[in-house]
Amino acid sequence: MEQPSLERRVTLLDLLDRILDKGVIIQGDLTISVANVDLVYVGLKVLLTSIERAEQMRRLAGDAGAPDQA
Amino acid sequence: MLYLYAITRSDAPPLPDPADLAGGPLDLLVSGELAAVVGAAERAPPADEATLWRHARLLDLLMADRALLPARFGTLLGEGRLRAVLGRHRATLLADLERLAGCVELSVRGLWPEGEAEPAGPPPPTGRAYMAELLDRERARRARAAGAEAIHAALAPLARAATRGPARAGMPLTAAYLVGRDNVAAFRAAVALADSPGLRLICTGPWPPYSFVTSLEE
Repeated sequence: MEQPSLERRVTLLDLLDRILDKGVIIQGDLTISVANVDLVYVGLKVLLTSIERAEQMRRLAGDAGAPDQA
Repeated sequence: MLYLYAITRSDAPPLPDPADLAGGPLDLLVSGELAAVVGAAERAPPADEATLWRHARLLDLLMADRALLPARFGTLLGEGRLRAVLGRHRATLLADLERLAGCVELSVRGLWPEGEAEPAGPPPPTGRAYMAELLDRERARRARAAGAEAIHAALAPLARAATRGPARAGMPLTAAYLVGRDNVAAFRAAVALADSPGLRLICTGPWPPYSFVTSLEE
């Protein structure tokens, strides 16, 4: 299964942390719905943690003698 | 309605041709020494990954030859409101443009290496194993936190400005550095040298100076 590299995931996190939260913020504007932004964020956080955890489990499985494609 | 991309000086070079990045032509709304880079839009764009990257590439194109203050993604407002904001915050915006001219932002994150992610599961239930596991986890966490502090302390003096973000689980260092455009390669080389045992450093950018824009008080 193809997973984006850690660099790619971190780059995406850096992008989100910046363009959604920082820069010139004009209060009380009509901006994109917070629900949308939260979805992108939540999706990414799940991605970051789940991939790290999956990697960890894969290695443990590899140590236990399971076939390891990587 | 206007979709705001960035604020620049009105004497900045002519706008580049954004090809298809902006989803339409870019326009400058000039207000004295300030100019807002805007597009026409009826609604805010969807916050999906492809749209976010397109927005980022457009800003990359703009910042290649001008100082700019990036607007938060999704800022849609009427012309009157935008003119009012430019007028009320003129001094702050001009000072920011001057301070940030010639600079870009680099991000540095320190992560627990993959496969050694901070353990999240419950520790073993029995007394002795439980204590030993807690002790191990705390030692490892503290060692990495100290490593992150040391790295930031070493990198901050190399930048014109620096700011720390909150630590996340498995990510004890989140920091942004304001660096002269000519110093990006040197700063990256310093990051490569600053590597600390037990932490993997990832440097991304150059980004527009998002983390160094003064927040506007209404």
